[in-house]
Amino acid sequence: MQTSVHEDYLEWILENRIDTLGEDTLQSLSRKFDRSVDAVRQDLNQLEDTGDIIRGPDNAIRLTEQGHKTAECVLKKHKILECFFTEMLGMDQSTASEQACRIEHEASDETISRLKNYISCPRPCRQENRRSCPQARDLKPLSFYKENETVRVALVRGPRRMGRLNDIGAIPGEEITIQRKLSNGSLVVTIKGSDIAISPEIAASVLVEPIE
Amino acid sequence: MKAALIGNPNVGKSLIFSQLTGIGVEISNFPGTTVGISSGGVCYQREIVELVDFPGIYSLDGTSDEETSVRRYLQEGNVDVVIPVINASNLERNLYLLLQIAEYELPGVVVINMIDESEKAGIEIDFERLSEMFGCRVIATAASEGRNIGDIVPCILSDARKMGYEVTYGQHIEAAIRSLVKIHRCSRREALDALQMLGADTDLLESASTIADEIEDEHQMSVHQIIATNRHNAATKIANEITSFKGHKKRFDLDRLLTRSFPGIPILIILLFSTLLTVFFVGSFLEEIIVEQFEIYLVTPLMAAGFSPFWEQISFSLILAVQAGLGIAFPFVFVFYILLSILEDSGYMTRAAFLADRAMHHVGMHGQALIPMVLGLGCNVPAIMSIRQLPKRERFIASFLITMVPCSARTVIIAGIVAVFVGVAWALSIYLIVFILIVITGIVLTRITPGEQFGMILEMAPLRKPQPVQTLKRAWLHMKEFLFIAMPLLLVSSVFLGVFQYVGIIQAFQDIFAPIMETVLGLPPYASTSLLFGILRKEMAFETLAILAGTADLGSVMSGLQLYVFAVVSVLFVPCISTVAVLWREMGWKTALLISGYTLILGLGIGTVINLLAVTFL
Repeated sequence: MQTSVHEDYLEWILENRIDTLGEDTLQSLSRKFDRSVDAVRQDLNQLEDTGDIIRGPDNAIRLTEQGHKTAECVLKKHKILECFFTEMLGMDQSTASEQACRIEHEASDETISRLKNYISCPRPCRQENRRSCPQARDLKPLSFYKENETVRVALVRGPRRMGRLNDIGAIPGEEITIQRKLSNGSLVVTIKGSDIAISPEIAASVLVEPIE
Repeated sequence: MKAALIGNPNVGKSLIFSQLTGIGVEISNFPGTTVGISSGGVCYQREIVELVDFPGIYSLDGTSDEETSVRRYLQEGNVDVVIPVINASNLERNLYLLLQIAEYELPGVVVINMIDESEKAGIEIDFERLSEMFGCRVIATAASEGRNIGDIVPCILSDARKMGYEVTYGQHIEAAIRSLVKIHRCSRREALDALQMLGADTDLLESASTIADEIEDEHQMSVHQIIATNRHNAATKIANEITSFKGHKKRFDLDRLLTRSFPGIPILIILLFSTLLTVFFVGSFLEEIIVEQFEIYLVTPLMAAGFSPFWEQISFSLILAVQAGLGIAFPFVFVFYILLSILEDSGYMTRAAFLADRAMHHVGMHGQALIPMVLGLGCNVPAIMSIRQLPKRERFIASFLITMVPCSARTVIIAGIVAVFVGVAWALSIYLIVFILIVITGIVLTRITPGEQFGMILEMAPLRKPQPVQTLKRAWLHMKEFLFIAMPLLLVSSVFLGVFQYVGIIQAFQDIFAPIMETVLGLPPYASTSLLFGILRKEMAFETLAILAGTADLGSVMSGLQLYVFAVVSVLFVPCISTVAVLWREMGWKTALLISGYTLILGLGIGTVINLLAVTFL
């Protein structure tokens, strides 16, 4: 069995908090890894041999300390990669998850920890000729743009009450058009086909990027 | 059976509701809150369906009063069938709420309304496909034409199927849901709510908060944002799958005129002014007729009937209250509400709120508070009831400012005393004084009221031609609040006043205060008497003055200055008894007392200043 498959099993057991290995669990495992149920059984035996899982009576199963450690490590890598792909690179959820699934096994601990640092406190790019990286994009508040400009939402800051903005559709990635801007900063924007009036201070907390 | 209409604002929910229920509508509050909910019965083939109309909401996991109330109502299982109402011409945004409703897995029938508008815009919708996706019946309606509205009730009675649609959330959210469901044996929906810190189960909330913190750390986004994004993406996917766009939306965009500083703001001012003028002219014309009828058919016969003095006093005050109430209610308040409903129905009020937003910030509120302030020009009581949807801090400021807005009754005083005997320009100057005082009060309150100012997020209702029936119904709803809340208060307080007057308490009161008021305000004794009367019965200050002066020609007995001071003081000081009562109910007794005290001092203070200035310099 390949290391990646091996790790995938452990990750899956941890993530889904599997404690019994019933027929349906085997079925879903076989679907997930595209292997026959028998092959899955064999794989699990191997996992037991390597000391990553322990099996008990009544199909009970649990990760050993070693197995738990491996699984946690892989799961963490997966989450960080996926987060990077969706949040920073703007990839869609399923592709991001699928890609993360592949890379998680190859990426070194250092790569991941650097990536994690990068996500939590991004630095502006130093090399100027490099293609603009996400955080160096010029994110400006919505209030910066003019009438009839269409921009893409990147980030909505602010307290929970801003939840209304998310509910009406101002979510990262959404394109919004400024219909009207008064000299005092009040805006009317079109979000998902409806015109919404917003106060200047709210417009200031919506960070947007221009659409190329 | 109990069925509930749920939907975004402006989807025609209330129109469907009123078409189904007719007139027998009851408006009550959600238990323990001040959020209104209308309910009415529908009878179909001997089965009775109790239909409930929730306030328009955007989401079921928001934190506003409306959203919280609706969520709680659904959670407690008070509803047998849900009827999500969706705007066909804005399907995508509306589907977001539908996805949330579907998570409750209640039996339901989806109503897609306004298909007339979507057809005009060239949008084709595959209703069959939507019905398959959510596993329930879908009815396409056009409430403004009454199309297919009749199908709703038979369908909820015979074919309400359990709704369901599973949104795929981000991996971390899904993992969190799985572990919460597993550990706490809660439903998927409860787990989602708990991740957003909603719900009552403390154990569940505690473990959810640990997971949520972790997710938020990693994503640099709140869980609510992540979930909202997932749902919006799902909604977009569904919308793309079931709609096809043919032709192009073409409309003359009136907003090009209405929402610009120019000519938008002049249009706003002209509209408000002409509304007020119409109310004033139509109102005073009707008022005269109504008051006269009362005099002829009730007051005169009563005086001649020869009751004992006590009962005569009481029934006299009762009739006076009804006379004053109706004399102001129908002519001024109702006319005002009809005009206002036209503005609301046409969608103009949201434009007005947008234009006024920035200016309202200076007085501590935002554009949405414009509507209650304008309502206050009709009657302060419903205006104060309508500030419920504002945040707490703004509600406090608004309650002060609204009480200072000259309502119809005060308009009667200004018009009847100042405009007639002193001059129209002087009458307008009173409005100006009141306006300046409102602005100053607002600025001061903004500085001293604790809390943070929060801006406005308001959907602009699409501009529509107002429908006469709908407009009248809306005006009647406003009117009902006046009739059933302000009027009874007026009647009860009038009877008490009658008793007080009979016992002599009022006389004693007058004896104490009249001399003071004479010195500082320079008013004759009977004027200060009626002024004191006006504290309790604003609308009567004018009539009482005429009665006490012994002549309707006030100009012959009082100087212009005296009349002017009288009007200023009675317009400014202490709201009428009904307003005080409603302030008490909505804001608590402390605020009610504070406002009464403030306006009392303000009224007397300004009156004194005007009097002293005039005496010194003229």
